[in-house]
Amino acid sequence: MAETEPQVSQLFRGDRMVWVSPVSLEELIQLKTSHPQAPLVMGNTNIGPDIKFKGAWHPIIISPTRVQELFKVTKTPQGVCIGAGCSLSVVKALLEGLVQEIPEEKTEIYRSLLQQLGNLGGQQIRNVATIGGNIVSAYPNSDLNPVFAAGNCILNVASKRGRQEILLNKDFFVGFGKTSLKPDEVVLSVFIPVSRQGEFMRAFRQAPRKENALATVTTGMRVMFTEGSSVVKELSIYYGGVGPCTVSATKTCAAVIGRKWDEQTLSEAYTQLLDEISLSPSHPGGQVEFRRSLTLSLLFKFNLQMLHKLWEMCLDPSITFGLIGLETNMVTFSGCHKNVWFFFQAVVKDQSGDDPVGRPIMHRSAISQATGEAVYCDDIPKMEGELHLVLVTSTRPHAKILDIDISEALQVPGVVDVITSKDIPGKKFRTFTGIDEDILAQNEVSCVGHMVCAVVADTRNQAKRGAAVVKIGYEDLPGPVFTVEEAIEKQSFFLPKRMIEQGNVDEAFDKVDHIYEGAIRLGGQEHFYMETQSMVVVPSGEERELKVYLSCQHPTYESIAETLGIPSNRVSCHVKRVGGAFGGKVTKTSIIACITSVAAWKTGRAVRCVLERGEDMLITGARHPVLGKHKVGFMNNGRIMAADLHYYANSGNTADESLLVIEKILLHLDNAYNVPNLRGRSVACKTNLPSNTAFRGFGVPQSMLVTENMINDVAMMLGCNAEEIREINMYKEVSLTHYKFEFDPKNLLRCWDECKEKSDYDRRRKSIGQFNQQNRWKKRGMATIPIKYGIAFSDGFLNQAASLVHIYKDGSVLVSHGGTEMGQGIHTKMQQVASRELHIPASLIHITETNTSAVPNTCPSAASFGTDANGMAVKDACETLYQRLEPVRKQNPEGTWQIWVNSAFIQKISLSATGYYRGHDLHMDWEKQEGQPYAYYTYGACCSEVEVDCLTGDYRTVRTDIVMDIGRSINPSVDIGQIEGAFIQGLGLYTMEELKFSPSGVLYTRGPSQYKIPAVCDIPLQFNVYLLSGSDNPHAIYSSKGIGEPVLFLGSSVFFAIKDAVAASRVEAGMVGPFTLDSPATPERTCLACNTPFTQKVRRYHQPVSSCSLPQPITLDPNPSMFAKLNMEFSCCFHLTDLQT
Amino acid sequence: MTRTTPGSTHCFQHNSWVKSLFPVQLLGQLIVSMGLTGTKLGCAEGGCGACTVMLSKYQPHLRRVHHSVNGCLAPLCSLHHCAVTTVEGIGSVAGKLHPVQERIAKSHGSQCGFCTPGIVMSMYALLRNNPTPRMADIEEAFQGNLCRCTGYRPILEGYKTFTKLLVCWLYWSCWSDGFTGAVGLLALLELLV
Repeated sequence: MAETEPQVSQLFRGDRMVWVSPVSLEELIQLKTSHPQAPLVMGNTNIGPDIKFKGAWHPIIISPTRVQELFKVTKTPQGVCIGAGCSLSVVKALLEGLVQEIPEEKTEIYRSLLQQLGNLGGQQIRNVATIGGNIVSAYPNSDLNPVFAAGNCILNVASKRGRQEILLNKDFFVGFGKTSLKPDEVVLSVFIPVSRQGEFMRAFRQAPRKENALATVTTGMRVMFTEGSSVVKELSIYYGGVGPCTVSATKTCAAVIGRKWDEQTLSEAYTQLLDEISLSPSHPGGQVEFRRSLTLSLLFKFNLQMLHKLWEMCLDPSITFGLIGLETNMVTFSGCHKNVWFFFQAVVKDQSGDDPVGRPIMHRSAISQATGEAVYCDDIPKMEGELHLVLVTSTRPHAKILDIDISEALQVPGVVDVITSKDIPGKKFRTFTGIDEDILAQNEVSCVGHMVCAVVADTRNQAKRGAAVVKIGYEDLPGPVFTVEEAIEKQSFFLPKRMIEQGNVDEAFDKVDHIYEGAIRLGGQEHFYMETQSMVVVPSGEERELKVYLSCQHPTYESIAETLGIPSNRVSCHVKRVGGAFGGKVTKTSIIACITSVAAWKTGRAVRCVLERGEDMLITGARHPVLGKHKVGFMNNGRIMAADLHYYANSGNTADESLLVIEKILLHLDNAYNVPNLRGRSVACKTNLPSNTAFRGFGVPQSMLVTENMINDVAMMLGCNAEEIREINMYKEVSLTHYKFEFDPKNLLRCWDECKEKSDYDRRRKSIGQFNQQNRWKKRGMATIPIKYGIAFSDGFLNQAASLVHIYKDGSVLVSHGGTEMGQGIHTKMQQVASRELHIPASLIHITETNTSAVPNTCPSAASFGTDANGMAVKDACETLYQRLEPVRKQNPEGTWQIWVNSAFIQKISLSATGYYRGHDLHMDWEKQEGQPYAYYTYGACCSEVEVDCLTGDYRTVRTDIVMDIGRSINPSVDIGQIEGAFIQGLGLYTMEELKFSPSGVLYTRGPSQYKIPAVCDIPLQFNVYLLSGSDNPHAIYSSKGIGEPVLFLGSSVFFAIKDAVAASRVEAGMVGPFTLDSPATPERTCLACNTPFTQKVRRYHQPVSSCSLPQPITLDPNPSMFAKLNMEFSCCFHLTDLQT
Repeated sequence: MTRTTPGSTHCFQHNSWVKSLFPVQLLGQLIVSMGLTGTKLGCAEGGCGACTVMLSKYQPHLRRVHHSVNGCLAPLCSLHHCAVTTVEGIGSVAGKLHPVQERIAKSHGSQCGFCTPGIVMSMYALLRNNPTPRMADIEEAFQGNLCRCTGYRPILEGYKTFTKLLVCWLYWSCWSDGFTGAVGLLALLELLV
């Protein structure tokens, strides 16, 4: 078909744009001459997002995908000439072939390019992004351009004036996204030379995530030695990420050329480099100190590799590798994840083979999810007359609303209406924990992203256009508050504060051997559920009935009914499945659903609201960032006698669930430790940032990090391993917690011991010590962390659930319950429960959705309590039905299920039953500071080992072993899925994920290109999960335990392992004792904390000479994530490319 | 616009529809106009891979015909004479499952399932080009796919079964009374790396 494609150019003419696809080079040049400003688009990985997110508009787009000249590849003995239209995947395959074909010494540049190509974008991007596009987009962080430039590559360019060759060098890159090319010039190809005798090239990059992330600093370095010596003949160094474009270190190179490559020369080069590559403190993207350190340490890496080369060639006998070692060759980071073990538990000996409980059943809709047939909220077909809703949000952090002018918006074609607070017929606010929160801002906005009004239109694009022209008049209110420090200063809190104390802390401090005070900050975490907030509200047009289809953890018919001022029995909520929630789809979904319902109510038409990723990240909040301070008193033997902890949680502009979060923080601050005198205080700080909400763990991951950090500090003070301190202080026997709840820590200790044993802790601890002695720039660290996590809602009334089970005449069974399926496998487990109780195969049982008409008054699927509660409710209903069938079974003992059901129907026995579970009566009395807030504890322990590259802060988790006590698992494969998933999410929280705000409270990180969640490259190389055997739990269904949230905290084992490795690096710099490392331990924080000679050099450079003599213990920037100076221009940087000249 | 269905792929032929929708990305076309909702919208910037589909195009100068792309970025206009294969096109519950779909499900590699179609299509495109990939090829194929639920391990384990060296494949959903799920045998897979 394609071979016989007629070679005529194509023209697609839209209302606002024209798309031209020429077939010959002449035609392309002609087009470019007449439309010099028209971009060339191939993969659309650059222009596309520009149009979508930055509002760029091009009347003409030229797509030269069919111009054969742009895809030509010519191999010559001098090098290879690659057509500019070749995709990065094609280039990669081509270079891989060349590296195999031609002698190794000729492929230095090719191998450097391959090194960069392996991490640039993802496969999908590389398949369409082109090499020419990458060059001419001239992004400052381009990974390829420094290599092309350092490698003396040449561009072939054509225009009406003819063809010419342009050397890719510092003169080519003239500014942000700008090159020296004229607008009408078209890049035909790029020539990459083979390397010559004595020429070596390397490429390095450091990015927030190893793969598919824009580089922080990236570099190409090429050196050529004079034949038979170590004298430098040519040197070329280019950096990306340290200026508005790819920059050359020309002066540094000039200073080295003509001299011998040795330590003396290089040490001068570092100083020169520091002078030459200067970054202003307001550099777009921030991280100035880190970037500057990287420019030095990457050159040092190059130096190490070149010294090794020279040593191999025996050119300079003076080169020795005493301290340096050959470690640059030990690339232990690379490699696929290796082996994985996980152990399920045995089911009981006499369990019937048909009973699925305790067996690793596949998620019940996994197959339809894998075929794309699974229906998510936005997959519901468009209804007749359906409208789309787009929210208009505040652009001011704190301001009075003067007026909302919607007149222009209403003129936009397709726009039907604009919904403001005035349109809400019922309650205009929602009340959480006694504090009111406007559904739509009425008089005042209190954060950037505060919802003010909503535009409904026939299509989503029309609604977006309408939303863009809604004019809101603001009067800024003074002194917006963003950080917890500011909130403390201004006493901006949501009350009440909470306090809990056992023993007498103040007195105990007088009797201890040592006292240490420290602090740690923990950044927030975006939920990043893959499916953004989605809902469709359909008014039935009769008797004020409303059907609401939504993606949420808590079907919120009652808030919708209150908002509309109608009875709850008119609103039915339907949740088929949720594409990830993690706590972010409880209260936030409820508010947006209320707004959407008002729109449907007012217009009388179905309204759909699906947030875009950027909107979702901006509006719906995240995990609470926390500042934790500790004062700890301990004895010489490591026993902690007293601890005083303060927690300040950044709640954002509304209370939401923050007051419950700070309570849970205090209830978990002991983690696994018995501290006789323990006091905790927590407060929710009211700031002008988007309101934070529940997130898997609900304060516990923040709370326990502070506790474990305190333990770590004690260990560092005493100079021993933190694990020893943990063991000394752990609960040993039946004990009372600080809220006077009695429990038996037997299984906690079993998890701990088993974890140490399975992870071969002692042996590996020794070999890590050895490794760290032998390696200067790579350090390993290890940490073992225990957890004791309380399950169930401490607000006791939420511990209830109901179910409805129907048996149909053909024997099939329909189960409804109040839990929502968000990937955690609750429907699968409910199917297992029903199958056991009814004694029928799971295949006869169906669960279609969570529907509030079937099961009303649902509680949220949260607190790791979904299966506990709903499982019991389903069990109850099934037991009732099974008993009802007892007579028919007795009449016909030989019968089958179908026969019994049929006879029951004929004998007029009801085949439907509701089930109900009245859960634990839990409570917490904050006046008396005691209570029973949890039904039971889930225990676990986790040991992780990491390897840190001290020069760049890069790390890789080498191995993780987790032992969890989850009672008798109902479905071990589903539970292991929760364990692994939560662990990786925790690893993200503590080591990667960083929300960045502007100084005026604008969230920058609004998509996967700016906010990095763990990817395949981040999982531990070896990952073992063990379920503790022989554990029972009388408090939950079939002796199981809740497992949704607890393991997230165990991701902190990676954080503390990094801290352990950093400590080893600091020892080399002569620094011992406690130090601050805030969470997340990003490469930036890790690298700076390692305190290598390069980071020291950069610091000295910024400091007056007098203060440089002593290495100062560092305290990291109080809140770098808040104040990182980012330039909006950079906030939409894509490492994605396309052909654009 | 006409939609023909030869086998499992959809062929696009342009027509006057372009005008009203222009500029439109492939994903919008699939979901809105064709009702093919299997391909998911995650971020609209090519960063999460939920919208991955396979494009097939014969280009004389390239050896490879098939490649994975982000549907949220691919402009419809650029797809002249391309075949697009979506997750619906390779298997279905009622029809026959593709092994790529079956194995991710059976290895517990799909929890909330929103990223699953994209991961399936990344793997499918890889196998079309390389029927016996190495583990490193699989990991490379997933560089552009994010999953927030599983932690990736079960996905990789499931797809390890496509690699060259694997001789034995055991579903760990095997039912036994003693040591359930003979997963320990997966340690054999260490040989692969």
